[in-house]
Amino acid sequence: MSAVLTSNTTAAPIHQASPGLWTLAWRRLKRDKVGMISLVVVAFFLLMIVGSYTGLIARNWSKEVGVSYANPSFLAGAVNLEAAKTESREGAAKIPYVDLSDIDPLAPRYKEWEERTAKIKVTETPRSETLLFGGDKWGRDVLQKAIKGAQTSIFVGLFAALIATIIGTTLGALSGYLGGRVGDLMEWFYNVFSSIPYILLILAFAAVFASSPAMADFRGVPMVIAILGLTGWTGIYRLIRAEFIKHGSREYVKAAEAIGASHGRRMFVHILPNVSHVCLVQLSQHVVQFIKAEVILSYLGLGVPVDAVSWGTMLAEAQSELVIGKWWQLAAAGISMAILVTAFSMLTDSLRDALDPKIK
Amino acid sequence: MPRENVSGWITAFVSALLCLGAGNTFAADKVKTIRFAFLIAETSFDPAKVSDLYSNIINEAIFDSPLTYDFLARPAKLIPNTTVGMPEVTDAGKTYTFKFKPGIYFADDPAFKGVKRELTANDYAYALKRFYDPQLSSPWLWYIEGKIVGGDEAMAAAKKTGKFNYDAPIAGIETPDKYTLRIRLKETDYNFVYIFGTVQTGAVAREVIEVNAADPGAHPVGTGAFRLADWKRSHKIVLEANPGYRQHIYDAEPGDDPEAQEIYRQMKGKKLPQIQRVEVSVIEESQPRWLAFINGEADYANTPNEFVGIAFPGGKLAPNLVKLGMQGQRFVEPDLVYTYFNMEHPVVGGYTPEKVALRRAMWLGYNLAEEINVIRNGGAMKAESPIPPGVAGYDAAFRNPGGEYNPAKANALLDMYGYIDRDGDGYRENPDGSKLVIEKASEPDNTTKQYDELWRKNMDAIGIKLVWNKAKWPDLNKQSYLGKLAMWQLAWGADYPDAENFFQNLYGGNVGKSNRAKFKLPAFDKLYEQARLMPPSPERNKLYAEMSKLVSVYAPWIPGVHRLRNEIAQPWVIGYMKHPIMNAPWLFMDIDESKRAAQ
Repeated sequence: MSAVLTSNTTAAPIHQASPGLWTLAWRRLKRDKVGMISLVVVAFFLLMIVGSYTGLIARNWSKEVGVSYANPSFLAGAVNLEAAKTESREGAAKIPYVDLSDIDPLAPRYKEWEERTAKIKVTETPRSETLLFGGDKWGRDVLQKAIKGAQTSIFVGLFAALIATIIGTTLGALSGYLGGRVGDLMEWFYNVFSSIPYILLILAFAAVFASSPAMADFRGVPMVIAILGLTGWTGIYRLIRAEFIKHGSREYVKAAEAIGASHGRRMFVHILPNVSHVCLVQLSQHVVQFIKAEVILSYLGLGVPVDAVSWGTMLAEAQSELVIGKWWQLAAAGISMAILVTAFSMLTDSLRDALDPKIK
Repeated sequence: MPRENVSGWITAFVSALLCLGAGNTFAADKVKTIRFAFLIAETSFDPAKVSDLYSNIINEAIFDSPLTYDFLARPAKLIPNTTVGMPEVTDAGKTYTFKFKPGIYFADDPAFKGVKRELTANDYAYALKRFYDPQLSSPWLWYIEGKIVGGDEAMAAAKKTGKFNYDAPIAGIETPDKYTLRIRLKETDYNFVYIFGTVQTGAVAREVIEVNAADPGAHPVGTGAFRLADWKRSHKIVLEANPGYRQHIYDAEPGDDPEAQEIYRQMKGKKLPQIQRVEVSVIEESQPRWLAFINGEADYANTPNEFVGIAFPGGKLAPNLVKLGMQGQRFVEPDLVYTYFNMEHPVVGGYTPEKVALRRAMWLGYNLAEEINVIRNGGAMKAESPIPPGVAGYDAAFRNPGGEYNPAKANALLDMYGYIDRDGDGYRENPDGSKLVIEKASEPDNTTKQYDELWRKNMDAIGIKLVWNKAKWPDLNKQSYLGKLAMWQLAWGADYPDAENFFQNLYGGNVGKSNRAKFKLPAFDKLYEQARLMPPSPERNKLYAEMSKLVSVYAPWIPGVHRLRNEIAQPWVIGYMKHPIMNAPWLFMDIDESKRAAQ
């Protein structure tokens, strides 16, 4: 008993320093069960994409390991008409080839050609009838595809959200803090952007990016990130602007002005940390939004390139598969997306609660 | 009873019956409408100007070519349309004389200023002359270029003055009287008659073209059974029966085919057209197009590849669809899906051995069997040459070694000709060490994406880097004509059942027009010109085989497949059968509206 008491009294001075905003937030978050579970789920997904990015998992997603539309292993016995047809048509015509040697410019080297061909080894990988979560049209493992797809989708979501948050915060800070002419100009710019329906705006950007030759090297995933980032900053801008207007007249900012801090320092060193929780919450909300937007873009054929896979392209493929009864690709992409998006949304919610100093 | 009275009663009774009958007809006849979906949008409706299938389908319904095909006869048989009998061929295949039926009128149009405008031989002469007009730069000029006496001279004169003089006579195109058209050719040409069965030679009225000079394609006026009632570009096309359409009674030669005989029995003797309205929508994605058909929103359809497996399992219409009363037909179409290379392109073009090797390697490396099995669901037949079955010149025994799928052979060929991966990035470089990147044009829809995936996979396997030029079909079409594409997949459907129709796309004289590959090989051109002078015969087929071999060797095209059509029609559709050459079947169709209403 006394030992406990002593330990308490000796520990007290250490806790004297008042915990900072982030420490408090972390404590509050730890108390939030839903928030913690969501955090674990999101962390799991992030680990998974790191794994797939570094090639530890799903490296061979594009390998055709199964038959066309291979059954999932839990449906091993189900009839697979598609694969059956592929096999039955293998019997090639037995008609001899026509002789082209009399007119062929390659004819002088026919012999060399034959010798070289003989030297090249052809290895045929055996295709399995079933895969863990089924195969797609080409016989690729749907589970690996979903993991690789997660990489693209989350990558796009995170980076696009980062770009949007940076743009939104910078413009919002300038507009809210400086006000006047600059503020008017920014407001006008914002209004133009927000007056166009969102999907239409995305499509317009996509069309411009896709058709401009200057962007030729930029196509694919970077293009999708740029499109989403450049179109999605408006909401963040509005919130940050309001925060900066509010904080601009607070005493601590006046105090900073009094000791001679420059505008830039006041904006980004003094005010920004105090509104950073808004940025963070917006960032995570936009990640979710952009993952969904990427799905839509890819579904419309404007998203990721042919050799990449994302949840959006998987859903696009699934639309015709579903009619012929091959549901696993839709399920794989749909379920993983549903889990991640739900977890991310709930995490965002918890973060908002944890970071808001008014909720204790 | 006095006789007069009896007859009076009878008359009254009969007229009462007639009234009843008329009333019934009126009630049942809720405007017979055919609804159909295009998979690619139309462009416009000027027969001399448009070259895409979908615009031509509409044109077929609006315009009358001098000749047409028997709807049911197989193989396709050319028959008179607006002519009295078949044209008289004299002078050893050098003079063609057409006699037209009097009393055929154009559909009403403001350009005619309220007067009924009769179809004359002049309208056909005018349609032919339009091919020569340099301002129009018709993709169909190859039909007559270099063939008709005086035609090329008239074209050369127009190029000088900048304006084609339609009033100046052309020696080879004469109209001795109102209903006679005489065409004289420089050389014997027995295939020439076929061009008069194509929609491009359909009669157009000069007044209408000139009044609508800015965009004649937006204002088609013909003598056909239908006229354009409403057009929302790339979205919806509505045709109405032309009330002034000539007397036309259904007749055909069904042959031995029981399905054709059944159609003949149902349609024989009916006044055409029975269909009063045709509504065509554009649905590019195959799933909604298929669902629209299944839901009864389209009356007939060609089953998209993805759904062949469920609609025609084992090649027969699925039992659940048979139970619904649906009608199915399956046959190989006389068409060719091919991938062309632009022979003037700095990367893929050229006739030197290393360029030939590059194209041949790509051909050897492309897994066509997988395209057929996986993407097309077995709905196609591998093409060995540009000539499809059902077309004169087709040889079932011709098997092309270039078309075998053999990545090892492809790799060996590329190694041999100096396409080697020097920097170790997995992709080969050109023999001179520069980067080898090939841009393939493709459309941004989900079906095309599957081809992209296959191409990407196959070309990666032989170390060739492909990138994509993604654009909508009409845009790619424009770029293609301008020679801006390196390679692109296209399809060619027979305009007439002769191999010439396919080979003209590779004839050097058609570069800049129908020859999109810009393939110019003197040996090939010589064979083509020789074959043109010959009537259908085994000797001519030998020339065609030689030409097929040249295509195999130089590979301006990768002949892909001949598509299997899986046609399916709703229970209420009567008389539908896909014709191998003609594309607009509406004139020969009927609808049982009571069956439709019952659904």
